[in-house]
Amino acid sequence: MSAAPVLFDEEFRKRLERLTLLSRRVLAQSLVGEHRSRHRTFAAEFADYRSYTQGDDFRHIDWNIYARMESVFVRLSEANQDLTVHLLVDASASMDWGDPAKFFYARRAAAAFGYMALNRFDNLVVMPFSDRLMPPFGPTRGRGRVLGLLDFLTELQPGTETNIDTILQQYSLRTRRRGDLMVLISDLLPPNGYQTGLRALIERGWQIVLVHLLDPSELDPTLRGDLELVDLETADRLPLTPMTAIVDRYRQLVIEWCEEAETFCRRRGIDYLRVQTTQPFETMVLGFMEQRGLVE
Amino acid sequence: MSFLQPLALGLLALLPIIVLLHMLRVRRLQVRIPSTYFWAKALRDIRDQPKLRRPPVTMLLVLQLLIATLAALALARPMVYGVLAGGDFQASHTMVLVDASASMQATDVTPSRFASARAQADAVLAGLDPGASVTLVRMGVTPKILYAGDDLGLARNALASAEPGGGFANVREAFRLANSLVKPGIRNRIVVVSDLALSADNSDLRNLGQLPAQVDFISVGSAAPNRAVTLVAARALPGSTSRYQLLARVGNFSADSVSPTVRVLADGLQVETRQVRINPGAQLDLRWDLPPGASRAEVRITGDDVLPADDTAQLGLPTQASRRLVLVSEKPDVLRRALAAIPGAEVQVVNPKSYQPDSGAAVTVFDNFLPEVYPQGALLIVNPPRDNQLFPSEGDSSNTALSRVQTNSRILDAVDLSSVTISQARRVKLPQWANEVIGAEAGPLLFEGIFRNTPLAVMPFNLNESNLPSRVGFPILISNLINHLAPEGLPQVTDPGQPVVLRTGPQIGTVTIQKPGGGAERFPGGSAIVFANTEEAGRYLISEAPASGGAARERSFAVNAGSDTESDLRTPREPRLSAAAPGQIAAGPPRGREIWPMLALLALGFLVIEWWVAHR
Repeated sequence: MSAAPVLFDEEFRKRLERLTLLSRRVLAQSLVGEHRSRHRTFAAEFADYRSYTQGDDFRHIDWNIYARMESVFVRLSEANQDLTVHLLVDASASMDWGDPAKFFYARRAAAAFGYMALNRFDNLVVMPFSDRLMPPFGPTRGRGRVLGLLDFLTELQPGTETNIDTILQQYSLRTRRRGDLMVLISDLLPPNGYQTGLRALIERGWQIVLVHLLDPSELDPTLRGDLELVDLETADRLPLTPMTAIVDRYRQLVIEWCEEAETFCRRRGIDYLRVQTTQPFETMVLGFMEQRGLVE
Repeated sequence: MSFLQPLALGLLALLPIIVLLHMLRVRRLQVRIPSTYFWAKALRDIRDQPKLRRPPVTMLLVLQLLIATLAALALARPMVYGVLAGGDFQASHTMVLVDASASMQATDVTPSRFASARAQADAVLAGLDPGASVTLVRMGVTPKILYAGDDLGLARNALASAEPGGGFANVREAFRLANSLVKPGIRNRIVVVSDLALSADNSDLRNLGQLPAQVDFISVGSAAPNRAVTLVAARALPGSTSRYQLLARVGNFSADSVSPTVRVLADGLQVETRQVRINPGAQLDLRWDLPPGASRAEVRITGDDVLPADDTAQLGLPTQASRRLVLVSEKPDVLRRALAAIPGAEVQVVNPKSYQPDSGAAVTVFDNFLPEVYPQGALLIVNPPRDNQLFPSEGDSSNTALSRVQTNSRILDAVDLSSVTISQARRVKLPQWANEVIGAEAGPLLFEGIFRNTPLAVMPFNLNESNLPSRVGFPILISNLINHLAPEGLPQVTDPGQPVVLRTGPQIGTVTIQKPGGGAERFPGGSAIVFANTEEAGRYLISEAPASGGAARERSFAVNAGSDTESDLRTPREPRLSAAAPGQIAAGPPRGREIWPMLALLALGFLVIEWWVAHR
């Protein structure tokens, strides 16, 4: 269930600021000494140095030189590419379930990622999708676009069913930049509909982070009595009396599916984060950073 | 509690149907979830969804069962009694009538039909609520109340000490008695425990009207073959006053021929043994000449059957002494001839105009005349005047076709009434003290009894308006009547339950009567003694002790168990009653209370709750 009015309240923005500061500090520490990201967030080819001027992306500052010479210089890359962070937010019907709804959490997570990207002057695109790709936010950069990002996410509404394979394949054809970062926030439902799409993105050189979002009740259901289950996306109906054996088997199937997704991602260099909606989004973001090797 | 419409309880058959519907048609709660994919897969893997499930104990099922139960109970119109009805604790009255006739001694049921009946009656008593009102009646020739009250322990004790007798079960009188004992305002029930070995007329009780009580019959025994001595009689041989010819009738109440051996004893000594053959369902008359001077005779069928009591019959042989009979009639010819034919009878004819009470006559016969002062001795009244006070008449009637004939009565022994017609008779109501012997739609045509200690018989019609005097049976009938009213000495044989009149002289001080099964009763001598405790079959010994001392005079009479009705164990016959309403409350202040409105209201309340639960 979406709760637009309180999606990004004052408390949430404060938490976002704190997270951003924390991530900056983490980033800074990780670049000192021997800590290097396993995943390059910047262009890789170095060409020359120049003095730092206001407005330069401080990610390009060479801190080694500063340590030695106490002067701030920025590295200039040969290609000097602008990397774009693509946030794909699953807005299908299955996301609009739970308390809080997964869609609510997904938008907050997207806000967090987007906020950090805008603070780092990354190019940001937020692409919601359900049965098709919906009108995006961006591409844009800079802190001045934060409010616009939050407004966009606030007004976002869940759609109908989705086919993640189709969506990802479509998206992979739209953008030809190699090395761009995609953060896919989805519950991956219906299952078995994402692997082909992810392969297509990897083949095109994307860096992918998969935030697999689930409600605790999906992992450990508490259904009782004589029920008729209705699929939110397909509207399929299933009469069911969830006796113990069936519930145990369901749990087993869901865990196997999650593990299968994790294994698939790990084998292909995709960062996989399994997140439950009861988990604070800060934890999720820090987990992301740990995953990326930005923090031990 | 009772139900006025018990058939409505059949609606309770809906309860298992409701449960079955709930088992088959499951109400499922709709739940929206992100994906049914894994649930469907789990279901396929487990395959554990049986079509027929255990009954789901849901609020809806419980409510629907409650509603159906309450509706069925309400439609059955339950009635509560006693404390629940706001009345006192005594809510019902049960009358148990136990058949104590001779046939109940049959052993086709172990140990006997009567023992089985006693056990059945005991079970009825044991099943009553503590404090319930109960009346226990022994149904013999004269129905007798063994217990009336509300102590079931005492009632059961009284039942335990009851014994069968040698006569028939007077069902008519027993039901009259029960009817008179019905308690108003509460539920009455009559339970009859019997082998239902009844004669056709004894079983038709429809003229008793509708009984305000539920009537239940518990049958004991089954169809069983039997042989019996159903009749014994003795007649003086022609020209002799001390020699008698013995007549015995032996019946075969079975589907097969039998060849019993019949033994005859006189004064305990064997006279003859004869083997006879009797066809199925037939009766055979046998005759023997008894030795001179014999005072009693006995007939025995040897061999065993289920009712030994009727395999033996006894009788006392009469002493031949003259009896003075007085006939008061203006036209005495018809009666005079019949009276004169009686052996030992001395007949005196008196004109009514000159009648004076005669205390020396054994029997006084009044024909179309009744005096103001009656004589001592027995009376035979023929055609009483219309305006007499003794038997008020409601006029004359020509509905005189004989419809009721007491074939068991000794008065009708050897009397053929089949061609008897009576053109007109007085319409007289049967007095309470009397027993009807012959009756028609107009009323009784011959009745007898003891009235103010006087043996009395009445024929309320003019003999000249009947062909009876011309029938062969007429003198036999008159002879039987005279012998019945004024038996000389003792009767040859008495029917079980029939009173015996003993005439003792003023010199007799004490009369002791010893009963066949033991026990004795004492009476003061010097007057007529009416001894009615004759239900036991066997020989009754009479000892008359002189007031001045000296040896007592010993006499005896016999009561025999065998009869056409009691000995025939083949076909039970349930009494026919007027339609009785089971559970009907006798007229009076109502004690029961119907509770269907409360049940209906409860059902309605649950219905409202059920509607709310179903639609929420």
